[in-house]
Amino acid sequence: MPWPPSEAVAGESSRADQALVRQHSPWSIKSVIRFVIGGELIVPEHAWIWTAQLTLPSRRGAHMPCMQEILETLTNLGWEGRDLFAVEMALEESLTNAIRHGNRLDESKHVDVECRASRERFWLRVKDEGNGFRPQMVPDCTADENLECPGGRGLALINAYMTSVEYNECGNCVTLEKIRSTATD
Amino acid sequence: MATHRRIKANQSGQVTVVTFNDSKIIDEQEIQEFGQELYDLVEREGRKKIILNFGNVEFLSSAALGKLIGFDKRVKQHGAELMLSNIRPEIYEVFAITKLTKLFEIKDDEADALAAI
Repeated sequence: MPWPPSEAVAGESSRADQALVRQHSPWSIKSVIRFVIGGELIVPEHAWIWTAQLTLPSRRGAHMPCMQEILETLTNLGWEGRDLFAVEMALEESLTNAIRHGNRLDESKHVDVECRASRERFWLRVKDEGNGFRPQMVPDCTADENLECPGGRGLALINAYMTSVEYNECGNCVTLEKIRSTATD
Repeated sequence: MATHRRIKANQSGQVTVVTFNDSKIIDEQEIQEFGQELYDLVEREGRKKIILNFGNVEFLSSAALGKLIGFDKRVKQHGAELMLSNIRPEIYEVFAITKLTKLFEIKDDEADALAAI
């Protein structure tokens, strides 16, 4: 059976779909978006084909398996080239920031990850248990005087590659969205 | 010549041409290792002309960029020269976004870099 199944887009959510998602998602999925509730078709804000939630430990490299899983899912959804590269960059930088800078590698703290994907869009929310930060206070790494400074490049890359980037008030939760360029061409 | 795990260093006349063993430079431990191996080229082995050939590199994180910046500083401290080459478009864009194209001298391919260094 091709993946993702086209009926998932049409809203005929089924046990088979969920089994298929589980098969492709060995890590802890807590929910799968449903489009049919009580026999009535609910039109969501965007018809996500795949969603997942998981919790990561604050350990170096803990994000790698889920990152690989998300990239494989997007590849199966037809994502490729610069769009896929952009998502890989955003995943790497946002998850590493949460583990390393947010939770400071404190393994008693966790990183909550929520992800949604379709053929046209990618959406990600990453929340850590740290004190947060103010993105506007991070020095501009692209300024000539800061080119050799150690930080700020991860945020610059996320901003450059994603269609939208939003932080919560205290700065310990970032929400990213990427609209696939080929979908808007 | 020292044994390296993350890089290959070949001598071309007076120039050391470095290629990377990993196509994705993400893992923190690997970045630490590749950084140390680069530092060793100038600090322990005394190499004075170095080309980093990125032909094999498909992805690198901001942590890897940070390590390259640290290497550039060491190179300058030791009076050595550094050039980058064979950077594929996706990776070049990472350098362009972060304006590191201003910091590093980048050539299209290894031959151009060898001619210029």
